[in-house]
Amino acid sequence: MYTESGLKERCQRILEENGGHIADQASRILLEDPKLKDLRSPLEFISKNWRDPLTPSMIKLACEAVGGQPEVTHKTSLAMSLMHLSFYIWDDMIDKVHFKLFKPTLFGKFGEGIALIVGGLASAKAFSILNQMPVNRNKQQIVTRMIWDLLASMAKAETINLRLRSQGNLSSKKKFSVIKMEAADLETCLEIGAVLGNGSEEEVQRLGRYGLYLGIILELWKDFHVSVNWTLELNEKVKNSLLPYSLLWASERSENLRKKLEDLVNTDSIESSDVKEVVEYTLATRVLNKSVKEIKKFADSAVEELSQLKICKSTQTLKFFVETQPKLFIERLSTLEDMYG
Amino acid sequence: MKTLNVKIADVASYLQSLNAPDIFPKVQDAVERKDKNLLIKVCRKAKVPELYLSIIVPLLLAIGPDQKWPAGY
Repeated sequence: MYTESGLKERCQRILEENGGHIADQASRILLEDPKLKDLRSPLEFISKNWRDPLTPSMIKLACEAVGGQPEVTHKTSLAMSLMHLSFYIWDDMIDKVHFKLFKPTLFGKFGEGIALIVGGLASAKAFSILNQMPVNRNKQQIVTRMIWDLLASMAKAETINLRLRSQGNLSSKKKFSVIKMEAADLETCLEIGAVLGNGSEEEVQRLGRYGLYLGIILELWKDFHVSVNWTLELNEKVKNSLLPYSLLWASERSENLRKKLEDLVNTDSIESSDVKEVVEYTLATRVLNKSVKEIKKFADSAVEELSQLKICKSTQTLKFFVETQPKLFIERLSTLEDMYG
Repeated sequence: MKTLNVKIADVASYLQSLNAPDIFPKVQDAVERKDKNLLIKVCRKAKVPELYLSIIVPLLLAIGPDQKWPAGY
């Protein structure tokens, strides 16, 4: 019989202890600004429905991993979280996502105009906070350049996605390169943490790669759930020819799946039975095994990067966190495997 | 005994059935209120088999504030 391992709760505790405070601050900061009282309703919605303890946790842990003082990361963590809020709001706008598993998005509830404004305000606030970083000018310039590089990379990923939308579907290989670009946000977070902690060039690079691998793991995990419709987005993805990576990989290996997807693009409505057929064809390609293998591979690579750093409490925490992700991915599916019937 | 693949596909299809225009607002209401009993009632109305309620109901109710981690909950 399936029982929960408590791993998810331990990971949640790590994030709360290291990033909970900043996550709360980031979700409230725009709401608490008296100059923005005309936007109270959407900002309340953000404060209630968005929270990101991962970003500040990773920046803080990277800083501590190289022997730095975590207090120096507060402003930057807050700024990075707000920048992620912008990406998150604009992503939904670009993909025209009105609901996520029955919950409306900011764009879905308040429309394009408000989503544009709130996303812009979050970014502007992020840069104004970055200007207050308690570090010397040189370090401030390095961090600002890293953030600019990240923004350029995210813009590139979105541009490719938009281009592909107009051209039709792409290869799984190309889609994976987009996933890697999207994972660059965590890479940047870890690099920034290490820079703020006065890490050596090698330490910054190793922690950056750890962040990249962790980012890829999280993207692959989400991608698999989209591919099997556990996020209820499959219908829209198929209609808009924005197939997730796992589904693209599977369609390159299954003639039945390819034909079914081609048929569905031209139909008015996609029924439950169609979704079931798509998911069955997808899983018949053994894409689940491949996803598990890939996630484990990236977790191993992340651990390898950490093994080259000095052992301390923070590197041990980072190691535990990334090693746990493949287990959690499998654990979620185990609830089904152990179900009778 | 169904295979894991079949069960994953079943969940995909039952979730899709909750997206039907006459069911969607009721699910949305139950999810927003985090009302487990109401959600079970709506799922039964949408003909989600009893066996799958233990997967689908927690999946829908576990969704907290949007966040990057954990990705699959």
